[in-house]
Amino acid sequence: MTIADQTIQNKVICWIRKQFSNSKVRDGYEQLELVAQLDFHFETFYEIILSNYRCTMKGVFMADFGTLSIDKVMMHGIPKGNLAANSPNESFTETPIPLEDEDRGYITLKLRATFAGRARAVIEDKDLESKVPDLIRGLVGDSGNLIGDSRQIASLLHGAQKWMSNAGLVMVVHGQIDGEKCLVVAKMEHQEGMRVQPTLSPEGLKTYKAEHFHDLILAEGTKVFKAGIFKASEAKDSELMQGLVADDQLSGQNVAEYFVNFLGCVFVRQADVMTELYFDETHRFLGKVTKEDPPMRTDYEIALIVDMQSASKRISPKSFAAKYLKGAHRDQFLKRMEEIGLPIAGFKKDTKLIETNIRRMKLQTSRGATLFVPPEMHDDGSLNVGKGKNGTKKSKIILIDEITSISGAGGPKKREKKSVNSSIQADVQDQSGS
Amino acid sequence: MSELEAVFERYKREYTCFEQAALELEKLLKEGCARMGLRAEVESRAKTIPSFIKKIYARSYDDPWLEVTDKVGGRIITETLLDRKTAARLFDESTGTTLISVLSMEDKSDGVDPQNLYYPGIHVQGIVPEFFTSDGQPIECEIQLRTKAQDAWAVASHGRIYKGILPLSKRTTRRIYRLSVLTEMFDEEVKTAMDEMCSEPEYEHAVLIRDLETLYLPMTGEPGENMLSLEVLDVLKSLVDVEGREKYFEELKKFVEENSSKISGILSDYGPRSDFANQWAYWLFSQPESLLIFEKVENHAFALSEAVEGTEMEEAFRHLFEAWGKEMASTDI
Repeated sequence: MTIADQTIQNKVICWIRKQFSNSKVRDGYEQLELVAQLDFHFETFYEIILSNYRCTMKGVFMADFGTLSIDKVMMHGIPKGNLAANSPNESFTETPIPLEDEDRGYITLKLRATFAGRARAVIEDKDLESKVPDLIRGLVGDSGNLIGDSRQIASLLHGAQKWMSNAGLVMVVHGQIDGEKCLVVAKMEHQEGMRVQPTLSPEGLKTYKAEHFHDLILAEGTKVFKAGIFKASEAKDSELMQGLVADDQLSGQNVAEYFVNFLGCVFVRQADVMTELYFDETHRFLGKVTKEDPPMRTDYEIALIVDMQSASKRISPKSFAAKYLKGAHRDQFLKRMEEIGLPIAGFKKDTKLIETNIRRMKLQTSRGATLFVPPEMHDDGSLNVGKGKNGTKKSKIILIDEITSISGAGGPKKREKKSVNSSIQADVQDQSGS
Repeated sequence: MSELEAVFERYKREYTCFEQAALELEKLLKEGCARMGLRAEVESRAKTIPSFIKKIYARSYDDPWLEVTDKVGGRIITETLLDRKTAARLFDESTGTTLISVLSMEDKSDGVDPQNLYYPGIHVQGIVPEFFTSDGQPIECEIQLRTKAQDAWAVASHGRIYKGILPLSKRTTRRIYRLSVLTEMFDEEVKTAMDEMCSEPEYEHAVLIRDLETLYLPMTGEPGENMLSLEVLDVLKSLVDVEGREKYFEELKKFVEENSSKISGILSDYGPRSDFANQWAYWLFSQPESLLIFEKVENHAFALSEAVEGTEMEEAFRHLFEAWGKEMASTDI
């Protein structure tokens, strides 16, 4: 399908704007209106959008956490709850922590694990009037002072914390990623654990000495809860700072965003936009990998709708792949999610932008038949989609239900050429609300 | 000046060109062997001037310049008969990927009466590409394909029978020729042993480990534990297509090259020469199969997670995922 029709072009532009609803990012994309005037095939146009987006957010979605290394680490203690700014914190330290190679290697692994599959793009928001972005710029650009500035960051975090926040440590790390300097700001909470060491009892008998520790950090099987990473190239003086934030405690909008806001940033994509991007991209992916297999496509599309309708407050591409996809589709799907910058470990679900698209599944045929089917009809066998005769692209659809009404209806005008991809056409129509 | 003298003088004048052609031939043969994954010795030479003179005077050639077709010679010496057969494929024009333009290929054992003793080996006559004589003619070469055993016999016998100054008695000639039976028996026994080894269930994995070592050892300088490698590959058997092992290894080589800096960094920080080498939880970094695992983490993370979840190795694999900067996809839903 080519975008020649002005009406469809306008609809596509609206769709683009919805994808990038953050105002700071959207401004850079007015130029895409020009692209919309050209006679592009829709798929090509979509790829251009994504590639332009990636170029502008260069490195943000594409950070390779496997190249993260650390040079210096400052740690400061943070009491629980919130404290007014300017209150003294006697847990502030005065020099970077001494690191043997093993210590450095261990912290590096834990940081890589924190960001992998969880990182979300953030961008500076001047309206928050936070001092942290300038501190980060100074530290990653070498004009800052690691000791003094990290203390200030710790104090600001303590001031931004909610009353229910646990005590912990703030870690400020000078490091490198993707071959350039970076800064990591992370908050960790203490954990409990036990150590046992062989010893002798007072009677000289062999035994173990057990010690309980309640101030452990980065223990095996746990992760740093909140961390942000900022590359030098994304933290220049003349531009809005960009970075990536990982947060395992995303249980509610307000709680989740306090750490991001403390960093002086907002998420580039809010939950509703991420949900819509996930839904659209998953739908596109499923269509591509099941092109020759309508029954499998039906199963997958129903699974997507069921997943969107579920009571879970989170979307997890990993779980979706594990539960519903088969064989090589799983890895291909997760790779695609990573390519478009969605954290595969999961993110908050907000279906407000796609509500009308997830109530029922829509089947469209090449000759103009349209079927709207609630997912439960597929689950209980009332809808069956099977392959047609060998050598044809036709499918056999069996729907068992009581007919309550039959009437005339509108529909698309008869076309001389068949649609290249009828589902994409359906997408565009859906975006317009028709 | 006699015709032979003219030929000899011409050979002296153009000798440098033949030497260069021999070097080019050796380079091509080595590249071809590497492409086929062949372990073989490769030699080449331009026929020495004294040897050339002796030959044209010893034989009654109608046209000595044209009829001495081994002015440039090459040799591929393989470990086994099977490898020699593989080497012969380099000159099989039906594959469409021959190293050089082939004029003829002759297995010296073809057509020989089985009751007779004979010189073993395959001879290929071809053209060295992009090299020409002073009158614009392409330069021919003779390439010998032999196993090590065959070569040992050929080298010993060549100076005595083929090019001996003194004619040997029938008894001595037979003594030398019957040694060729030993080479034949040696090669056949090696082939039988190889066939038995190939039928072992873990043979393909063992070959893969050997291939992985060629990439891993230059990075770390220390080999892994073979028994551990076999156990790991057994866990990953659903992900490793042993039938397509050669093709996969080429893809893996490309992956390692493209990510060499990252992989070197990780192995330096967590591999056999790091502080983590003595910690059991990080043992996989000291194994050559870690390269294969990195490739799977990058391209088949879910399938890999599924293969190792719930096994005793899960924790060790998790560290490789972390080091690579990816999350292990839990299949626990």
